[in-house]
Amino acid sequence: MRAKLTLSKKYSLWFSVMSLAILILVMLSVFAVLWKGADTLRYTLRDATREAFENTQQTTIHNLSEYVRLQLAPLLYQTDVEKINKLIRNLGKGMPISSFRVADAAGKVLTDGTKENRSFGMALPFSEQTLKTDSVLIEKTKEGFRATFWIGIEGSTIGYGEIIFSGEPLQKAIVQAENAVVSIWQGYTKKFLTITLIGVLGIALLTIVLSIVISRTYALPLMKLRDATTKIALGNLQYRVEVSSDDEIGELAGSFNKMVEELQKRTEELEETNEALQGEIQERTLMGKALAVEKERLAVTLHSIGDGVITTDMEGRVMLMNPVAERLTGFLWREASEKPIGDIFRIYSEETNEPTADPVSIVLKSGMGIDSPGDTTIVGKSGIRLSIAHSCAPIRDSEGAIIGTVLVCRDITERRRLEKELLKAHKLESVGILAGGIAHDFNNLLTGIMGNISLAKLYTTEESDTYEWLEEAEKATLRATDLTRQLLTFSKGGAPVKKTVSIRELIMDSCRFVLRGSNVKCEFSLSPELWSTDADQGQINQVLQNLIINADQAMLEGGAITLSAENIVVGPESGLPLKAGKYVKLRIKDEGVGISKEHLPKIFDPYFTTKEKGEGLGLATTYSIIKNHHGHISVESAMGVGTTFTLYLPASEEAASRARNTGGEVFSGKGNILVMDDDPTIQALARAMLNKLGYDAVVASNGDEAIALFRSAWESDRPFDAVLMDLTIPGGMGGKEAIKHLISINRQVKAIVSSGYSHDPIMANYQDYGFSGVAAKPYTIESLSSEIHTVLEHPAS
Amino acid sequence: MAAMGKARLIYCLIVFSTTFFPVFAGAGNLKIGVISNKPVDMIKNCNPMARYLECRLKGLGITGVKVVVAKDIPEMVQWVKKEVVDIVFETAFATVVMREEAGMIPKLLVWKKGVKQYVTLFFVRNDSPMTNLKDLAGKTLAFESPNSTSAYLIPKAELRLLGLTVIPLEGRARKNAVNYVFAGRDINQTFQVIQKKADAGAFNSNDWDELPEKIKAELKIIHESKPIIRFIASFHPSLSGKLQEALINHLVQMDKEPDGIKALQSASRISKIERLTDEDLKSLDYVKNLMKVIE
Repeated sequence: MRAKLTLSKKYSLWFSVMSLAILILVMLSVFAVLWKGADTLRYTLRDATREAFENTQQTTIHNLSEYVRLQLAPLLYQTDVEKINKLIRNLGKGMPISSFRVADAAGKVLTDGTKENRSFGMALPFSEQTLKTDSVLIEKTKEGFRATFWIGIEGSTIGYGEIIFSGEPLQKAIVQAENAVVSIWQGYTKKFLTITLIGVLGIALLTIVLSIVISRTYALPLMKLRDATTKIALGNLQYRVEVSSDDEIGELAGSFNKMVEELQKRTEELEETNEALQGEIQERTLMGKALAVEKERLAVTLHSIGDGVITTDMEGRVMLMNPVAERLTGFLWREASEKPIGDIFRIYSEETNEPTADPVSIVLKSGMGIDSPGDTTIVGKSGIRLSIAHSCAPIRDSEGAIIGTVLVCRDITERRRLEKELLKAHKLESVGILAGGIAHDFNNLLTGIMGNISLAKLYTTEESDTYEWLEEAEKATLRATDLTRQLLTFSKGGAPVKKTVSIRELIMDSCRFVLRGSNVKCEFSLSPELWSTDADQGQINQVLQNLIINADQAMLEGGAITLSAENIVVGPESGLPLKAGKYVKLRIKDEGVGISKEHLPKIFDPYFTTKEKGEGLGLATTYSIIKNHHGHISVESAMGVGTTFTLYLPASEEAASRARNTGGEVFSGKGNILVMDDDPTIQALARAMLNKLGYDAVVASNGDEAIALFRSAWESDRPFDAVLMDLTIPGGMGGKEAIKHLISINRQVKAIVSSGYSHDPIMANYQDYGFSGVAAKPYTIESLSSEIHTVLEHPAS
Repeated sequence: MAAMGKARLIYCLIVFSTTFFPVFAGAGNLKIGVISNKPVDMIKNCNPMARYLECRLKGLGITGVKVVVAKDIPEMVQWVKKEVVDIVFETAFATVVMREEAGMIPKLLVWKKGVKQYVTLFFVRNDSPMTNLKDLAGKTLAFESPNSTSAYLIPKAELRLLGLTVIPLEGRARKNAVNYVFAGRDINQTFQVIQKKADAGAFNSNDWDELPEKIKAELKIIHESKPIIRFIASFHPSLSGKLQEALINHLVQMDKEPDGIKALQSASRISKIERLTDEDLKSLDYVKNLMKVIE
């Protein structure tokens, strides 16, 4: 806050300022006159010093030049340039000489004293005076002074000399002299200023003291009156001003005291009235606060309720809405306030999509509450449709009369969606079970067909037409086998039946197979030393085909799909959701339309598709297969650029050469084999194949029969060397149960599990159940012979 | 005055010691000989080389290496004959004299200021009609000084080899001889030619290279002598073969070691030392021929 100036202080200040201003003006005028005089003196001294120095310098130069001229004459006459140079150099050590040139009689420079002698041959400029006399001519130049002189002996010219004297030392001397003058001048100025300052301060102090004394004499009574006013204003109405004179100020003090008395009386009356009013105000304030608390509690409750709440009056106009109701209807409370409920709460039947009756009207008419469990759709302000459940009840006053309604509604859209999803999943599960059953039976049939074809091939020669037809039939059967396997994977996503496979061949075969007849071509970039992988050949085929088909369909106008594969070692810090270890990394890159950012996160979701006829299971199955292989799949895509899928599959611990025989080689052998299968066709086929391979075969239709035969043989002198068992026997003991019994008879039993359910976990992890090998149906004579050969060659685990 | 007296006393002592000390030097001391009219400076400059060799020859029974300074070639020839010096660093002319008169064996070629050899150049004014040495008959030739090898002895010998008479200028130049004057310094020679006080000059190629380009442009070269080796190290014949070989090896190696380089630079700015080749020895024979002419 700014300090208030008293009258006394104002007078003192004004008087002081005026006095000081006059004093400063006088001092400044004196100072200016003195300054001007001192400055003139300073420049006069400087110029005089300069002139004196210059005169001295010129005399020195003249004398020196004269001396040099005499010294140079004999040297120049003898052309002793060496000594001339020495003379020049010696002079340069003691004098401020910038350059020194000696010319011959023609005025051309012979030497400038330097080793380089850059001036040699230059014409030396001379004035007429130098040429004609033997005196030294001194000229003032920018650099300093130039002395030129004639050199000769007995009036005969033998050369000329030129010395340039630097003006720098002269300039330095002048500056030093000038500095000395300035220094003296500054000393005097400082003393003068100090004396002046002390004088000004003394006079100023005297002026202030005088002004204070004078002002206090006249301003003191007024200041007393001001203090009295302040005290009264602060509430001291008892205070009175002392009347000490009978002049105007004394009269003013008397009037002031009368006014204070009147004011004291009025104030006492007002205080009494005020006290009564204060009591009344306090009572009203307490009531208002209680009401506000109640309102606040109600508002918080309404805001906190998870259901939408709308209240109406008797005419069905909206009176109150909470935030949930605002979200469901799309209207803000302030928009909906006092509008008919029908305009805000627009509901339709979920079944018929027809508008349903307004519940508020019904309640107001019937006086009874109603409840809708959830077959209603509400259409919001922006057109968004949500499934809701709602109820409505009348609001009654303390006497039971209806004064409005309360409508409560709840969003059940998510619940509805989950119910539909569940229903869909149940349906698909049923389809899956059906598909799996069909595939199993179909596999048994295919086993019969394929086995017989492979047997037939053994009885024909490769050159014959029959062999070729059988080959074609076998290929068709193999494709049918793949179909059943895909069907099984699609339906249940079963555990993979892993074998050590070369991923290179799978990639190339899949690409060529899918793109046959397409305008899209395949480009391969496969590492030559690509590791093998432990994978279900059929499932990985399915994955590759799914991805290649998608890529093909994304490039309607043709293009190229690039398939690359390389070996990588994933470390613990890789950031990939994979265990550390060796992997084969595959990249399938297309140049198609790409996947939108919106769709990209959903493409692996079941039932998500952008195709008109797609089921949305392809990529979901792909994802499931890769996960079941302990691998990883990721996708990158840009609209208009293309899509790249990246797959990681664990590398096999075994070399590719350890891969089982799929190349058509038939392994013959000897021994006694027990075959267990419920299907007579398979029984006959297996027997024929084994016989053809050189083995003796005994068949059993179920587990009990197989156990009995095995036990009998074990106790005889000709036990079975191996057992081929179907995993499932309808209505009987299957391979899973039977193997336990066989192991109890002979711990070293070599049993091969066979099944059309290639997704079954037992097929994938057969060793965990006591089997030594696996033969997925349908099998060929080659694959069967290979499996038996492998099992018999290796000791049982 | 007192300072002057002290300086004279030191000078006398040094001259005394360098003159007589070698005579009384004990066995095991190796003496390096040089010729100079400034013995104090020369000993100071050559001492680092002496210390360098001293350290390395201890294994061969050498207990100390001394520098001895002769005032002229005859004195050095006397010292060689009295076996006062073991190794001498000198010009080609001095080396030939020592070889012919005292049997010193030239062994090493010494590069000075980065130069192995030089030629003597005869030059005239650019506008002069003279084109060869024979044109100098009846003309004035500016030599440097009577002590100069390249700017007096060699050019004089070259002229005599051509059958020209070379005489000092006395008054007017004689028509049937080359009349010479001494200019004192090489730079004066050039200016005397440019200023037409002499018709020609002669000095070595190194001095020519150092002339400012503007001055060179005023002159032209009409003849250059055969190359002459600049400096040579010769061994006394009494030095053992083993010691000679060790000396050669150490001296040749000096420019490859930091303290060796310093010692070489101190000793009249020697750049490096090499073994003499047959070609170098032929060059000495050429010098011998020139000397015969001068005699």
